[in-house]
Parts: sequence; structure tokens; C-alpha cells
Amino acid sequence: MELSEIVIQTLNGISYGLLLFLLAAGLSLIFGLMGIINLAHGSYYTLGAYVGLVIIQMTGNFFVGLMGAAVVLALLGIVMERFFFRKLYKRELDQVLLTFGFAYLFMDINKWIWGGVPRSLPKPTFLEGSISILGEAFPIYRFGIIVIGLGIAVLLWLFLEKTRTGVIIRAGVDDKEMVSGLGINIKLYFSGIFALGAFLAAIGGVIGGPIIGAYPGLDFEILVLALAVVVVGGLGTLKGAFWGSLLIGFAETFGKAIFPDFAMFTIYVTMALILIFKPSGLLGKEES
Amino acid sequence: MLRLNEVHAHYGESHILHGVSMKVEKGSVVALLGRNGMGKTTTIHAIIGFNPPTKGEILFNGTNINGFPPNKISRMGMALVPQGRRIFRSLTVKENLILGFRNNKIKDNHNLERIYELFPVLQERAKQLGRNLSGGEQQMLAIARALMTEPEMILMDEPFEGLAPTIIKDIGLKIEELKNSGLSILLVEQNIHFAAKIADYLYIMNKGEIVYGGTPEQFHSEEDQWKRFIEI
Ligand SMILES: Nc1ncnc2c1ncn2[C@@H]1O[C@H](COP(=O)(O)OP(=O)(O)OP(=O)(O)O)[C@@H](O)[C@H]1O
Ligand SMILES: [Mg+2]
Repeated sequence: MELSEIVIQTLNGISYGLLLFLLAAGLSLIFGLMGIINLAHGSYYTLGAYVGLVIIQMTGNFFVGLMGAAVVLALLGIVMERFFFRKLYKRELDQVLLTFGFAYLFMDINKWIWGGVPRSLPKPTFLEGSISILGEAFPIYRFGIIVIGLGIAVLLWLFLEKTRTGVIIRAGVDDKEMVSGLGINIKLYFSGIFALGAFLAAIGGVIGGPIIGAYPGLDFEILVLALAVVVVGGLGTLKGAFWGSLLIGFAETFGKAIFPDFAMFTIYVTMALILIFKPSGLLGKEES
Repeated sequence: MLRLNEVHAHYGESHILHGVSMKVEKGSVVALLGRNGMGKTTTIHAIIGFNPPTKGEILFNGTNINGFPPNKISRMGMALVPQGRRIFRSLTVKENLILGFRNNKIKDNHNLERIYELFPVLQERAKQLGRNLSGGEQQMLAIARALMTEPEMILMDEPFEGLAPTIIKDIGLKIEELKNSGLSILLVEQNIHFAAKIADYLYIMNKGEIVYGGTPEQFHSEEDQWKRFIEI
């Protein structure tokens, strides 16, 4: 690989990793707090992209589409938690079936409404075009993804570290029964964290839209990657989701560049290596 | 203050408590003794609402709290120092403590200062993660965290388990201090000598039933009645 290509693939890896982070952060927090592996989480990403596309076409404004999709999906997250998942705490098999069922349901609804043709989202005009890095063209939009992704990561970190709600959520990941024993109604936070997870996934879907687009089956592709992230990073921690996302982002982009036919293979190898040397993930909780 | 009437509790299908009745008077320390697996923790979990009784009454200040969620029971003035300490391992000491504050009083440092006076070591370690504390420090944190909720009554489930003798002595003194401050305490304990020294009344539990109850004086003179239920 030439230097210019290494630099460009590194930037691609970071921007892709940050997209994955938007998905993995919610997946990981929902699991950490409620013990639910939400297999419909990839659907929030694709639904977000489609809803964002509709709003952008209606309003002509990318950022209105971005926020609109995020809010719509947050509401969907609340409804799903309130009326379905709340009844299934601690019933792991039922959760898997239900969340998997939702994932298929959303995929079919998407196919039915938008058809099987991949859709692409327009970029905001001021992020169009590309710049030259060591003689190679690199799209400015990818810098936009990096900035938004890092910005959200910092906001999430501040929220979890510096607010009382953040302390309660982290305590709930450790031992939610004990949190309730201190007088806190932890169930009130469950809907909130579902809303947050769906909100972030939808943001990922919209800002990833101009590059990745939206098409049936993307929900499952992206879900597998997000699951790889939480396995690698360790479940239930934001830091783990962050570094795991970057690692899987790199494995995916460099894998595609170096072994185009075996892109998934590099991800599985990364996962296997981490699990051999650190079974609970990079920053996972130690078994007690 | 607290009264259990004919309390039954299950874990899934298995019937663990078979009609437990006991009481804790206001400002008193009551010890609950018994061998491993006899249902002491199950009793504590029934009271705090982690595993609500399937039958029977739990009266706390006259209200039947059977079926109330733990957060509500806690807000009525009941606090728990659980078996195994269960401090929040990925939170700092200070974060562990402020969780007990009511009504977002995150900036109100009054409680915190009082707690730090009682447990100076927690102030020294305020910024350390729970998982990096020693066993004794974790136990102090568990007690301090419970006190942060300003309880009228505190349930302590084997607070000396797994601690070195010198630390047991330290924590024993703190518990006596709490008793003298007027807090009501239900203390689950394996060490009958310590229990008989600090408690105003003692119960012995065997296979989910209370098989003995008496004051420390009765306890000493009636050894034949309870000896077969616990090791001395
Ligand atoms: N979560 C649970 N699920 C099923 N059975 C349980 C559970 N917790 C405890 N038990 C069972 O209930 C019985 C009473 O257990 P409990 O924990 O109340 O005993 P204990 O008196 O506190 O003992 P120890 O002194 O060892 O703490 C035991 O037979 C135990 O195996
Ligand atoms: Mg016990």
C-alpha cells in the first residue's frame, strides 16, 4: 500500500468506525442496563435513513431530516420498550425471538414502502466536493461524519460521566436491583435509554446515508458489525463501544482494501483474537 | 417499627420462607442468626422488596409494604447493606454515595460531609473506583451508601463476612455508633458472640422458619433451646 492510500483508508476507517459507534453505543447501553440484546437495533439505523430521506426530500434540508429522523426513531424506541420489551425482562429467549421478529418486520415494511432498489441520501451542499490528500481525492463529507461522530461521542461521555442521570445509568449497568434499593425507580430510565439508542442509530443511518445509502438487508449487515463491536469492546461500556467501533471500522475498511473478497473474514479474525486474549472484550467488565 | 406476620417467600418454584414472624422495635438492634442457606437473605430480600413475599404481611411503621417496589420501600425510610456489599464497582466512591441522595440534591454536600466524618477513609478515596477498594473499605462504603438515604431503619446482611479481625472490630464500632444514634437495625450475623453483645433481641432461623427468639440474657441461659441450630 502506498502512503496516500494508507492515510485515506485510515480516515475511511475512522469515519466508518464512528458510524458504527452511533449504533454500538445504544446497543451496548441497552444491553448493559436491561440485559436485552436488541436485534432490531440495525433496523433503527435503516429506518432512520429512510425517514431522513423522506424529510430531506420534503424540506430540502439535510439537518432537518437528521433531527426529524432521530426524533421519530426515539419515539419508536419508547413505544417498543413500553409496550413490548418491558414485559420481557430476564426472559432472554423470548427477547431474542421478539427483537428478531421486529427486525424482519421492519425489513419487510421497508421493502414494501421503498422497494428493493438502494436509495442514496443527498449530502448537505456545503459538505460536497473533495480535497486532495497526498495527490488522492478524498470526499469532504467524510470529515463531516468524523466531526459529528466525535462530537456525539463527547456529548454522550459528558452525559454519562457528569450528570446524575448518567451516574444512575452507569450504576444500573453494574447492579440495577441495588439502584432500586436506594430509592431510585430505575425502570423510568429504561424507556429513556431505548429512546437514546434509537435516536443515535437513526443519526447514524442519516449521516451514513450519502455514502452507504439505504437498502433492504442493510439493517442486518450493520447489525452484525455492531454486534462485533460490542463483542470486541465489551458489553455495557461506552468506552468499549468507542474503541471497539474504531477497531472494527479499521478491520472492515482495511480488510476490504487488502483482501476485497474476504472483508468479513478480517472482522471475524479480529473478534476471535480479542476473545482469545480478553474474553470479556477490550474494556469489558471483569467477571466477579 | 417493623413487623413480619406469617411471611412466605419463594424463589421460582421453591418455597423458602415458611411463615416467618418477627419484629424490630424502634431504635433497637435485632439479630437474625442461622446456618448457611436457611433463608436469612431471603428474609432481607422479602423486606426490601427484591423478592416480595408470596404470602403474609410486612408492616413498616404500620403500612403493609408487601408488594411495594424497592425504590418505594427505600423512600419510606428503609435502607439495605446487602450481603456481598454490592457496591457499584465501576463508579467512584463519591458517585456511589451521591446515588443515595433524594431529589437531585447533587450539590447539597451536607449529607456527604456527615458521612465523611463517620468514615474518613471514604473521603480520602472519594475519586477511586469502587472496584479498587479493599474489602473493608467496600463494606464501609456499603454502609455509608445506605446512610446517605437518611433511613429510619437499616437491614445489614452479614456485614463482617470475609473481613480481617481488625477491620471487623472497626466496623463493629461503627455499627454500635449507629445504634447509639437511634437507628433501628436488623442485623443478619453468623457470629453469635458479636450478635449477643450488640443486639437487644435475637432470632434464630432454620429452614425458613424462626425456631428461637429471645433477649441476650435469655439467649445465654437457654443455650439448650438453640444450640442444635447453629455452630458456636
Ligand atoms: N436467587 C435464588 N434462586 C433460587 N434459590 C435461591 C436463590 N437465592 C437463594 N436461594 C435458596 O434459598 C435458600 C435460602 O437462601 P438464603 O440466601 O436466604 O440463605 P442465607 O440464610 O442467607 O444463607 P447464607 O448464610 O449462606 O447467606 C437456599 O436453599 C438457597 O439455595
Ligand atoms: Mg445470606
